[in-house]
Amino acid sequence: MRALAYFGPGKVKVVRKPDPRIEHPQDVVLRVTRAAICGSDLHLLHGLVPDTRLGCTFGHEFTGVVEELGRDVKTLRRGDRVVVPFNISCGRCFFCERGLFANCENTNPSSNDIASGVFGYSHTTGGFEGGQAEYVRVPFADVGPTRIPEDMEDEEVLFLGDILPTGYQAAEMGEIQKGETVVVFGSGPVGLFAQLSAWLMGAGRVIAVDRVPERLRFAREYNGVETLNFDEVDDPVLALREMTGGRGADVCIDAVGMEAEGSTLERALGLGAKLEAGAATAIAWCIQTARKGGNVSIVGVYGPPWNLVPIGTAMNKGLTLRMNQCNVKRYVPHLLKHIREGRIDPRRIITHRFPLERAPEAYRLFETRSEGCIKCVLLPQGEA
Amino acid sequence: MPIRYPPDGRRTHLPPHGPGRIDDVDPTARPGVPMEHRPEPFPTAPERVVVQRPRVEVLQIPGRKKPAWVVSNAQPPRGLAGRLRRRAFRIPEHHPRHWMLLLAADRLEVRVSRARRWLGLAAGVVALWTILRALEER
Repeated sequence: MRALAYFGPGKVKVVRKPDPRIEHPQDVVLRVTRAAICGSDLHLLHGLVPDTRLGCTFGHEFTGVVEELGRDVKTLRRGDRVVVPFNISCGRCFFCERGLFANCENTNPSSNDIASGVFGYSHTTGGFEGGQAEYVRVPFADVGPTRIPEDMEDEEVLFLGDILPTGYQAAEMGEIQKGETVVVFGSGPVGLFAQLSAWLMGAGRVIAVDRVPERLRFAREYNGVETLNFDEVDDPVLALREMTGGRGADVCIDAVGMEAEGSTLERALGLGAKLEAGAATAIAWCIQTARKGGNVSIVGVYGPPWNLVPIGTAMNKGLTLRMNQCNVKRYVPHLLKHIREGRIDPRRIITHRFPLERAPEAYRLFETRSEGCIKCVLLPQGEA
Repeated sequence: MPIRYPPDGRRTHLPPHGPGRIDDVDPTARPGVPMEHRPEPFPTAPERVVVQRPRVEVLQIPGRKKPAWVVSNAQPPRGLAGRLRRRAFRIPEHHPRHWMLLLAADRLEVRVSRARRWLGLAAGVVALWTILRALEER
């Protein structure tokens, strides 16, 4: 099969690889129909995630058609169209039984502390091959995949695999009360869905912070939020305080992660010298912007082993910090209902589609955020 | 330091409280609340689980009580980078050395791969040159 493969920081190519096969009785093999490029794939591309081995295939947000089934798979049939969560979860362990599918303890031999197994996200999350390929192996097929309703298209549900539930969980972890002010750092795909989810949860004001004018414009059009371009102010924290009556926001959401712009020091330490796991500027701004007693929700991806974070400020302000990888499976039925009933139109954020052969070009475009790029989707079966 | 405001765009829209836009105001209507619910297996989770036997070497973090139920057979540890990775996996992950060694292994793997490609190219050039010389001498 053809698949995207990683060849060192900044370098991905489409290569020939052996087809995946059933390795476990609860596996299925999917023919991938859509595979999105996620912002967190850029962390892999830039060599920031430890144990990213040469030749691995990225991609943790995809839809596909079931081609092969393991002998113990009960809920799927050959030919079913499915959307797959990025987490690989057993459904039976201590954590899965409590709804913490992102923390499953039976799918990632490489770490107890990081996450469950994840598709296409380095050997730090188990080394499972990702979906930016013609075919992909999906373990625990009775737990993860969700059948796509017949009257819905793949692209309508594609983002149920990661960014839509992640954005929703970000807002949910902010414990938003009716009328509260929510600041969302990052206006990429996850940030956009966090903003939208904040409205669904009754926020009174939603403010999007980013530095890319096209993304802020898109946020205004898509979500009707207020925006702040932090490149256009001297001090974004002071500007946000000013916008929130001097007190700060009730809820701040970090939808940026480890490659944040905005602080030369953080970038030099984290991305240049690698003395910390990337730049934690967005967390710092969340903590500094939230009002006393407010909530900070973190869904931006950070890696081990540590980051410079103003934890003393958080403590002294009495903040509640909540974070996790998204427990995707919990959100799928609820968000599917929102999509069907027209409250969320995830397809609108797709700005570019590429056949798999042009995946390196798609990565370059997404990385540079040029041509108004919000979200790139790959079409491994080439029907672009 | 004076605050400079953006020229426009800070207050562009009123909240779009259209029909259905505030469906999830009630926290109990939110699917992840509480984040940790009463323990119950996922309804379609397998009743009987087979532990996958890996076909290649799979590195396991120290401190795991039992093997993972599923593993990946992709990109097993190989060569010099593989040796570094094996060493890293003898150190628990709460020690930064574990992660530093893994990052070092990543960088080494890239260098070795590129060096191998250049060496292959150089060997090809030398071979071609030798053949041409031999033909010339004939």
